[in-house]
Amino acid sequence: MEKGTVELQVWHQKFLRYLACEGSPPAPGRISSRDPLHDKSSSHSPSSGASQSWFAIGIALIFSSFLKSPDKLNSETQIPLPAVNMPREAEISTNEKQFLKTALTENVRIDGRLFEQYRPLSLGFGEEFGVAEVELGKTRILAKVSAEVTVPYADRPFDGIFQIVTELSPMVSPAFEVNRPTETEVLLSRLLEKTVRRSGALDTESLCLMAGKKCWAVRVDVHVLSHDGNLVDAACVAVVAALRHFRKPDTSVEGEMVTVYTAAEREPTPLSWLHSPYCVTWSFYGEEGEMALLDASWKEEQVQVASFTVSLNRHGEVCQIAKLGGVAVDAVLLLKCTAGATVEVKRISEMVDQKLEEDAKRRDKGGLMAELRAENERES
Amino acid sequence: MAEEGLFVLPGDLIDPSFIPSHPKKPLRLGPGLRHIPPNSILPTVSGQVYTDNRKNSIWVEYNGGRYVPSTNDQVIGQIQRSAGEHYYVNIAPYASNAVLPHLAFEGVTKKTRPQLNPGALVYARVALAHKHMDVELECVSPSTGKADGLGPLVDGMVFNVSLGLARRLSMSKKENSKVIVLDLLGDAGLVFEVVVGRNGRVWIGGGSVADTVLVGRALTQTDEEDHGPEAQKNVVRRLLSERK
Amino acid sequence: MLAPAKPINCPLASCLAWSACPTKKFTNCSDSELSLFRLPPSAPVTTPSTDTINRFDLYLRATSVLDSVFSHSPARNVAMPLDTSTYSMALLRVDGRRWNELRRLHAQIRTQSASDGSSYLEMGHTKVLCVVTGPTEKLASQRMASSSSSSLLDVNISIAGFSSVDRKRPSRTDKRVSEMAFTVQQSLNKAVHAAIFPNSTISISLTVLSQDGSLLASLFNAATLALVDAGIPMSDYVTACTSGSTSSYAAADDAADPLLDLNRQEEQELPFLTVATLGGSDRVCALVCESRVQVSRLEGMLAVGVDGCKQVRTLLDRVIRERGAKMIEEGAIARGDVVGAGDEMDTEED
Repeated sequence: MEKGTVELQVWHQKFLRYLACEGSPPAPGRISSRDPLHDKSSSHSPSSGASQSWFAIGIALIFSSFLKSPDKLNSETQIPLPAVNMPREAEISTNEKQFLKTALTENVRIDGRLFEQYRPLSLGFGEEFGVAEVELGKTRILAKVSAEVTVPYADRPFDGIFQIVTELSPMVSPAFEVNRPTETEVLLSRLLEKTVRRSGALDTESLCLMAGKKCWAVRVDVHVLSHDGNLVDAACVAVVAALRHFRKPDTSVEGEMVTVYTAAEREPTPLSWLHSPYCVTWSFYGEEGEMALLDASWKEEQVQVASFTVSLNRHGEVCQIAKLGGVAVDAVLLLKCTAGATVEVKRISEMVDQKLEEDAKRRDKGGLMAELRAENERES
Repeated sequence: MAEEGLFVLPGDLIDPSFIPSHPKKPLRLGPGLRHIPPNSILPTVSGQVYTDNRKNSIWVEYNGGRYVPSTNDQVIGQIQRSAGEHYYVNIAPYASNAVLPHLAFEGVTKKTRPQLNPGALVYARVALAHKHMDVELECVSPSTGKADGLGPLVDGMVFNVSLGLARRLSMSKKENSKVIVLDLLGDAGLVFEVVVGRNGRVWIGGGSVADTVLVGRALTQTDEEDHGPEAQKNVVRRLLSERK
Repeated sequence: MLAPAKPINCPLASCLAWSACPTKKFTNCSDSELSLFRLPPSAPVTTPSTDTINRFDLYLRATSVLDSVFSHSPARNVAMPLDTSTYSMALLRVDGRRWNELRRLHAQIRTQSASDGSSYLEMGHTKVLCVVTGPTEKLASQRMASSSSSSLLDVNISIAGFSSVDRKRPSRTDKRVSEMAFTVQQSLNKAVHAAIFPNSTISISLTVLSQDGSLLASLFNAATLALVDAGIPMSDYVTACTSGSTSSYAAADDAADPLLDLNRQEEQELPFLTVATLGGSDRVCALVCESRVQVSRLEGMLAVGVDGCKQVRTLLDRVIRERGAKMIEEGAIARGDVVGAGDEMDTEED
């Protein structure tokens, strides 16, 4: 069923109850601002004509149900209005929480993995340059890089502009709304920002075309397609792979003239890339966070008592560490986790390098000369 | 005996010869079909049309999408809160809650009713599924007053499967459902209990933690990779070898 | 109120190796005034002048890369004349501290009479004011908004426009600030006995008056003090401080020392992390690092940070106890009410 229809139904149910409460309008605090009845600006809100027809249907239905079972309606009127009919994530049940915890004490994870085992990580590239899709178990993330020529910031005339934009859309789950960043989204974008941008993975000075006047603005859009835990690690691989896969149009500067060449005129050039940082996330379980799990799934994430994300590159440089609260974990365990992460980062790094190489081979058709060749392919 | 065939899209005409006609019993429409008076039956989803001549019933088998409750479905719900004389129960994510009256359990009075906290699981039957009203659940048969296995679920683990697999699991005939994982695992000597909710939730419990996880993995793998009977045997064989 | 310079009591057994070395340097230096300029015994045997040149060269190279790392930090001066190269000779930092010394930590509680709990904290020139209101009943809107995390605490941070060198318009949607608020909230949530207050909320408002490094750490300490002042039951103090390393991220820099409690100037030049621990234990509530550093440096930095947190805890505890004793003296509270104090108060009653 379409989202619009669902919303209408929800609204309609509420409307029915509103009518059932002897026509008294619901208390203002109890109706969400998303309620089409009160918020005509909402994109899904029906037009006033439609709302009138809904009104009529509402009355008709009240009457029909009244005729069928009057006692049922009475019981309905006693039900208090739910405070807000926001779409809600299904929270994990007590049974599941308990089971996950006991299973961990017996060294069992629900998907049969070892504690220090990643889910299968796969990386694919699009037809275009700069599109990467990462699958980590059921978590799927797409990153797309684009570049345009703009004016640099006034306070940084020698640097290009580089930004990472994350979006958790209702595509992932209806609990996410467009243009209203949730906590998850803020934390995800901050982690990517710190890992990739602040650590200087991309040389922004190389994006400068003409000091203070023209520069490249590189933008990475991160789309979460499905969420089954550990968004950060998957998103980080996607961003790094997409940026390394990206080719920006070649340019030349003559005096005050900047020429941007099309792909046919000149081979597009890769970005000047300095190092590839990757995130590794550990989750902690137990009273004192004494059990550490790598790459928690969504169910496991809901039970964790703390999480610890460390970003490293293959040279053993820490780019970022984030243990943002949660249960206090022994410092020695954190150091052990960091050491474990260095191994994992090497593995991810090799995987990404290999995939990039494979893709480059696939695309390489013998360079410009092969394309410019006049004759046809000879049949042998 | 159920017959399969005929792939339909929403709004397709179903050939009248395909619709079972029983001399006495009324025609029963299952999920995915809608009666438009006076006499046309239209599918509302895309899938395969199944018929059962003996029961004089017809339904559309489809996999995926959101769970839409229909009367007499047995579902696994999660208590959200308790207010007045009802529990509010979540039976599908992002859908409005169903209501479960406090007294809709076997042989309870106001004093002896089960106290369920938010987050507890119940196995319940859909008593009322009207499009424009909250879904109502019950954990007791209104005619016999017996629970018939319904009620709160204690311990165990819930695995999410597709709606199609949930429906196939609750079929009585194995040759129709083509799901034999559970039987294979049972034959291998694993001890476990299974409760199948039509809303795509399967509860597994009663055995050791490792066995529960194993059964859950077998089920989810069968579901995700859409295994046939032969592949299911392989899955079970592989999982059992990991166990030892 | 400088913390006594003591050899670090290192809890991490594996860190003993390095902790022995700086201690030795330190005792050497305190012999006389002149010895401040003597090379530490661990330094390579070269004439001081060439050594300085080498190091300065290294520093120049390091900072040019570091500049790009810290490129978007708001108050970046173009030419920052922090010469970290002198550290290796004098073993003194830009503000004259040694490697394991905290800055002056001054704190007060019960500064705002209208609140349930309040505190004012200075760590060096970083000044933070904290006000706690609650526990109060959760509003319906709050209940829905945080239904999944069911958080007791609600943390708000406002950074005054005049708090740093460049005046900056405070923005409501600064992700960095909301991340800090999230960190403080998530850490304190586990330290507070939240089960005692179902369906309640405690709001913590932090105002940053002046920034000179260790901002997140100061927020942690101020919030802890204010919570204690408000009489919220907690399992222990959550204290925090920063620790850095004199190394750049070049791997070969063996002579690098860990540093405790960095000021703003140092934070802009050196890799550092913020550690928050629960009470005097080695258990880390929050660990935030935003700079590039060799993974081998981490151990030393973490150990110094954890030790610094213990020092901070002692200082905060003293503040609370002094204030509590004063309040009993003044008769502001009845004897028998325990204000964030432990055994000492109890014995006084007898």
